[in-house]
Amino acid sequence: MSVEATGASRARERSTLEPEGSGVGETSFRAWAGRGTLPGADRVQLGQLLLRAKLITARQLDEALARQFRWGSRLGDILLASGWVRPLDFYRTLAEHFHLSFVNLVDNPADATLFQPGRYADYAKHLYLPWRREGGVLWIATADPTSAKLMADWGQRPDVRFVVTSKFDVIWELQRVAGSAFTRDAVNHLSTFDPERSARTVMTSAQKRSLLGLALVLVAGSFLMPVKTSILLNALINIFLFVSFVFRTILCWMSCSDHVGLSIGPDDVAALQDRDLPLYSILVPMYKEPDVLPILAAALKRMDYPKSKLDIKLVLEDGDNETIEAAKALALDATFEIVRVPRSEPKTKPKACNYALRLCRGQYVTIYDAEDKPEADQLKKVVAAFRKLGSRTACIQARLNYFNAEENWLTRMFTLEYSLWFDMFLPALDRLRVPIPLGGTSNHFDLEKLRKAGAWDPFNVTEDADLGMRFAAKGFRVGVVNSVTYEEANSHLGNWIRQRSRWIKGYMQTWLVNMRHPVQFLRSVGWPGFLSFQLFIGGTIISGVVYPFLVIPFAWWLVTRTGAFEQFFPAGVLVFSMANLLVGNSCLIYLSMLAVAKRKHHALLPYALTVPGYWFLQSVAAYKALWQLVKNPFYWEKTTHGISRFTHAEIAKAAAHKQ
Amino acid sequence: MASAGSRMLKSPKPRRTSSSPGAALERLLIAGLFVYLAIAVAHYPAMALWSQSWMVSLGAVGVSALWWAHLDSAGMRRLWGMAAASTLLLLLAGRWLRQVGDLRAWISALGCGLFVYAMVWIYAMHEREPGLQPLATAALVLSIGVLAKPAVVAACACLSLAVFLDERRHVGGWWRSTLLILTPVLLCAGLLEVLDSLWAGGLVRLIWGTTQPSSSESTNLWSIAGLAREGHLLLFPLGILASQLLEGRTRKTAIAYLFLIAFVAAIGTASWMPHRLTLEDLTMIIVAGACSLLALDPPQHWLCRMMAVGGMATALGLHGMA
Repeated sequence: MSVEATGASRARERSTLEPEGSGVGETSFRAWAGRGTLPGADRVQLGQLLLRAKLITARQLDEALARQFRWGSRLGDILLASGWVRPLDFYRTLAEHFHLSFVNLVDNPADATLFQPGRYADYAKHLYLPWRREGGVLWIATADPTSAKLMADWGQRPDVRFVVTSKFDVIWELQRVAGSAFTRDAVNHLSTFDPERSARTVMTSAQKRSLLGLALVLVAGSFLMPVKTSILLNALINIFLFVSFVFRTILCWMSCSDHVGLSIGPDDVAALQDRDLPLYSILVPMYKEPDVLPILAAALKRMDYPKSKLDIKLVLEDGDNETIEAAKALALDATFEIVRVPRSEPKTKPKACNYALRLCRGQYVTIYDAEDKPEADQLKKVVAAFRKLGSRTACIQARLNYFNAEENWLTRMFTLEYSLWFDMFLPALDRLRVPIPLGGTSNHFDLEKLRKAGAWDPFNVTEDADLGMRFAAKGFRVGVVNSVTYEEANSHLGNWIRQRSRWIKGYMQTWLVNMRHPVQFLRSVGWPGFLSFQLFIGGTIISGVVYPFLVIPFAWWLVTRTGAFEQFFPAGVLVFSMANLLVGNSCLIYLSMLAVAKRKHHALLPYALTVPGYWFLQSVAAYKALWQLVKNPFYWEKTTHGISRFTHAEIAKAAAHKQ
Repeated sequence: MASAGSRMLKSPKPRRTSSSPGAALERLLIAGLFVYLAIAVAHYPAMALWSQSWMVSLGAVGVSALWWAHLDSAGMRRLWGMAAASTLLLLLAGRWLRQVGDLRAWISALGCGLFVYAMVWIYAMHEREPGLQPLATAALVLSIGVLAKPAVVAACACLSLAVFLDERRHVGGWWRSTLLILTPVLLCAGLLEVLDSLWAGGLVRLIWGTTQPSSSESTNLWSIAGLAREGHLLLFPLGILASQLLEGRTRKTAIAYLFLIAFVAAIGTASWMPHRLTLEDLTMIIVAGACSLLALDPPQHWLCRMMAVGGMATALGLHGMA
């Protein structure tokens, strides 16, 4: 059988992000090739092969060997990650080194009938796949001929032979053959295996009956006893909001202390040995965002983490050619891969992430948005945090903030809100050991636990918040680490409303999913978790919906001193609800001040006084969310990134960094 | 000093073996103190009025019990703590007696006292571990403090600005630190004003009572007669401060407390001040602040404990006679 490296010239034309190569572990070369040479000698030998072929310079080889000593990675991974050798050249040399043939899977595709669905995870993780069967011999194409798993499963079989291919070819072929199965899984896994935790069914029959019953009681009450019904409803809403304000104030007060929240200091980071760091997968789901990609690429390149231990996947939608082309044009190094998500419904970020998750190889996996700028030591801090928090930890959430806070009033408000959320609320929730609604990006997962929990719900438009609740319900812990990722705050009102309505709709979905079996949920998260869920997730929804009903009558009365409300709001109720409204708004103003003081965004302090105006916008988004929940529950309102002038500056900076 | 203070507050309760030199004398003193308190309970004229209001009973017992718990958690020896809390209970009853049954005025005075207690505790918290949390706590407590009389809130707000002056570096200058400290209290004062206008002044009357000292009465607080009438209560804070001096553990908070008392007395009795302080308010503030100081840093040596609690008991005795 011919296993010539056909199509090499075509492969050279392709971007490095798509089918080409990966590194190898030289330590077991002896066992594989039967050379009987020392590991050290082997290491030099592969390097020398590359050197002899003038694919790398002597200086690069020396540096790679030095990095190999520090990072504990394989020479090939280091050379590829450093961008010193083209993947295609590397894998051809690797094949030569093992006296194996090199095969290009794009031009010589694998026989799809040989693929075993039960082994898809192995193919992705250990970078091999069954290529062809000819004359009773099964040919396996591998990008990692030293894989212990590969040797254990296939190495001893007399009817198996191996060829070398590139990492990118394996991923490419795997997607070609198993893409539809991955898509089915990405969409249906949770709703099939844990349907009660999936938002695919927006409301269960029991929930519909309860809602209908409640509506009937309200309507009947409004007709039969309008004043008493109004008073009762008003009192219930006000008590709930009051408790919610108090709860948030307590959370904020707790977080004012420097001791609340997981703190990983420079010493903890310094104590980590690079060689002990695990492989880290990074997912970057994007859709029609070609412009902002350089920001993240530059930020990831600046990451203080061994490059050879990064497995970065740009998760793009099939058909989003402009972003795919932009990614290729960046000519990123071999740590970056493009994952093309086949078209299917629902067209959501969690579905894309679920798809890419099937191809992840790291011990940990995180998500970044395309315009994210994580702090350089974030991955190391997270590794330290996972080690510190123990084996029940499934996720570490980094804090989010904005790099364009000063752009306009909206971005200032957004920054106030994010500072409050990520610097004050979440660390305190972590301290109280209650469920934490995760943020949209920079949540770092233990891959195994993420899979165990069922990964993201593709039907929930705030899949992150939902996942936080699911982790808590399944007994896993979520921590919040003191590392920040800077994002682009929405600077346009329409765009902001779209994004916010999606968030609130997602909160509604999350609340409905967790309230399908309230007693069961209560048992799984305990009273503190249950109450904090109601106050935090429920409180966000309720306050958005009822805010206009509290403010408008009050403002109307203040201006006109009308007696129209008297029958619905007797003096006591009126004073209580007004006090609640004013105290609540005062609370929010002050808590926002504290948050930006802690974040040291001092210039934003006076702007906190305008927070009540921002709450009106929340209400607009809340009503839109409510409408969408009924009409189009799974629709993903796309947030456009890259519209801020600060982002343009970031793109220019990233371009300068690249040069 | 701050770190030493921190150690003191968090240290386990001091243990002393029965072979310690002063152990027997200490036991004798505490026994004597309890006998004295028992006689006071039997003969104290406040007892006659005590049964007239269950709210007063509940309030005084609750406050004393909470203080005892605070003392206990801070490491004060249990018996001494009980003696101190019992003395406070009798003092509170004494104030009730003085106010001849004006429940609102009594509650208002107690509210002022509790507010000052909290503020002194917060200043100590800041002294122990500066940061955003003490500042936020001060601001939030100040906002609740609008329920106390304006003079007390104003004095505490001004003192807070001074105490938290060093935080200005961390929060971007004095203007922003002022904003952080004063925003809640200003918002709450505004809220109170709005609600009070809704109730045509009824809310403020409900909170502060109707008793309003005349200008001349207020001036009398500073007179020899005024001092002679209530000056003995100063024995309590003096005993605490002396014990802390003797143990070499004087805190900046103690100085803040003295400033606070002077400031409150000065502006609380000024003729231009709305809802001027009464003598009862002032004495409650003095006692509450001293109680907070004692709970923050309980004396470690038995002689100093004797000095602090003895000062309090003596004040009570003189109070009864007065």
